[in-house]
Amino acid sequence: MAENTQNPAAGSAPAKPKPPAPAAAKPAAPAAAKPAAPAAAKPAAPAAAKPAAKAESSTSGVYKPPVERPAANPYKESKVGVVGEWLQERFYVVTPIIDYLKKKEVPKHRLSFWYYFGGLGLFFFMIQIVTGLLLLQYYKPTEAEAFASFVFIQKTIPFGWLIRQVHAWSANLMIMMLFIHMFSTFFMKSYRKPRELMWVSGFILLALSLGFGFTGYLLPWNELAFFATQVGTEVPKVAPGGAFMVDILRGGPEVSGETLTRMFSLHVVLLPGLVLLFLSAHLTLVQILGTSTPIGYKEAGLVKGYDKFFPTFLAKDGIGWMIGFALLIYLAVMFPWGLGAKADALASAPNGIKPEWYFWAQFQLLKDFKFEGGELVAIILFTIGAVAWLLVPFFDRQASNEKKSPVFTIFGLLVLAFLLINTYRVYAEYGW
Amino acid sequence: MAQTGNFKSPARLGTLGGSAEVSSSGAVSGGKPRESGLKGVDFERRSFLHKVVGGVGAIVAASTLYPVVKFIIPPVKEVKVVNELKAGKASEIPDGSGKIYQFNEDKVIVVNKAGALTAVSAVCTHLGCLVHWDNGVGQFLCPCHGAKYKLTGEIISGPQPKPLKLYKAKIDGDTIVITKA
Repeated sequence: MAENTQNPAAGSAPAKPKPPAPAAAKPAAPAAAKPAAPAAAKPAAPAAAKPAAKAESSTSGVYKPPVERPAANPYKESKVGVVGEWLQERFYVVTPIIDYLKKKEVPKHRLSFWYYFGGLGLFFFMIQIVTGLLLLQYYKPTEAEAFASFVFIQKTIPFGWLIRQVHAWSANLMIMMLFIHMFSTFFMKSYRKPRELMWVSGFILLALSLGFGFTGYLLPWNELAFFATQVGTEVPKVAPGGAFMVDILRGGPEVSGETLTRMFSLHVVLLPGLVLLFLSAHLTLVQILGTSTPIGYKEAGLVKGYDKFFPTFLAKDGIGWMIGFALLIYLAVMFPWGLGAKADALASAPNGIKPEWYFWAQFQLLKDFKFEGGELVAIILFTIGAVAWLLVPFFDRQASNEKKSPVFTIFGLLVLAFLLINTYRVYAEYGW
Repeated sequence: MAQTGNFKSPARLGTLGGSAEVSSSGAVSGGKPRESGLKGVDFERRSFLHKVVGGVGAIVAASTLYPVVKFIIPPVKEVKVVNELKAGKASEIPDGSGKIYQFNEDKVIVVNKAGALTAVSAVCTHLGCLVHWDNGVGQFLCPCHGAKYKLTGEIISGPQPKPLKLYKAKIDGDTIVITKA
């Protein structure tokens, strides 16, 4: 009972808060002392109750040393809505992260127009997810039914033609936006420290998006799809181990119904999964690291100010998305893609067969290297080029030290020129 | 209620492990000072713009959603209603067994009992499973919840609310012909 007490010398008698002096000062009048004591005891009682209780517990209970605890919810006083309050009570640990994110700002300067293209790529990708899901309700991914279901969607289902056209055009617009985004971030050197991994994840996303385009292209199972896939999957054969890879990709030695199943599984399951992973990483990095300003702009006073990301820049982004959406619908309605004829494995490849525009530069390079072993050289060159491009942030020391790096700007211009010129050459020879 | 417009955000903690200026090493704070809140904003024009943009946005959203909804609703397959159907060969139904055929919107089971054909709807009126003919007990049985029907489609026992609809079946040459009762 009295163990562990702060006041071990105290007995079981409660300590009196008021000194017994006034009561003791009237020793001769016990009658007077009596009413005085109770009278004194009464006002003292409530006051005494607490400290007496305290003293009581301190003498007869477990000793609890005083402990300083931080407030359970430090954001209790903040003003948020009902739902916000509900979340905050439970997840207040996350509140500092949200506060940090709210601080994100986007610099305004003469090049900030280029900041919209990453978001536009994301917008067109979201359109792809939605229209892709819709098409998936009716598309049948087998050799027997693919083309028939493809035609059925466009001729019988209400607005099926629109969903298909939007899906086809949004794929192209998405890849176009991603190329613009990649080159604009390259020339603004946004890949420099600390954003190297944004560049790496972005490049991986571009490769996955090109994979999306390639795998999706086969799904209509018309002549264009069939032969484009046949030509495209023929290329890796010259590389060492390439024949095996092609076998896996095609589900056999030839493009067949097996190829269709594999491309479908890649297009609808594996690639979306991988893209969502890398996209989450990429977008998280953007939020954590913020938007980069071109080298020297802040020092030169070229930054005209800052927009808060939430909600101002997002709203401006939204305007860009609306314009992109209008463009997409215009293209889908005015320049529809055709149905084509059902794929026939025993038909000769049509004249002028070529891949989609985002593969034209490689296509032209392969055609230029017509000499013996030229295809392999072309593949090796492209692979080396891609790896070099991927590793630019780690080589560009100047930019990482916030200094201008004209060598890399020239490198970027050469790559861009190569892509543009070779793409144009295909157009010049084949038309669209 | 959530506040809109001017409000004081909660006292901001120091950011996680340091300042937010990690965008570039050796950064110099430059540019104009941050926008000083909502001073000088015309609230009436602002709310008018809000309404206009909101209205246009609603129209765009509705006109985007309409084709999507129409697309998702599956198209109705037109079924040509016929009065009689040449269902199959008489040899398809041996004595003491039944076979199910699609007839207009319904599925009809044709039972051969010693040469005599009976046709009833095969769709159990309880929850839609297809019944089969059990020649041993001389009943239609539904395996899903134990419904039992007579050869004429009447209810014997089980959870079903209604009897099986009657049809007519006859043999024309060697073809089974199903007609409405």
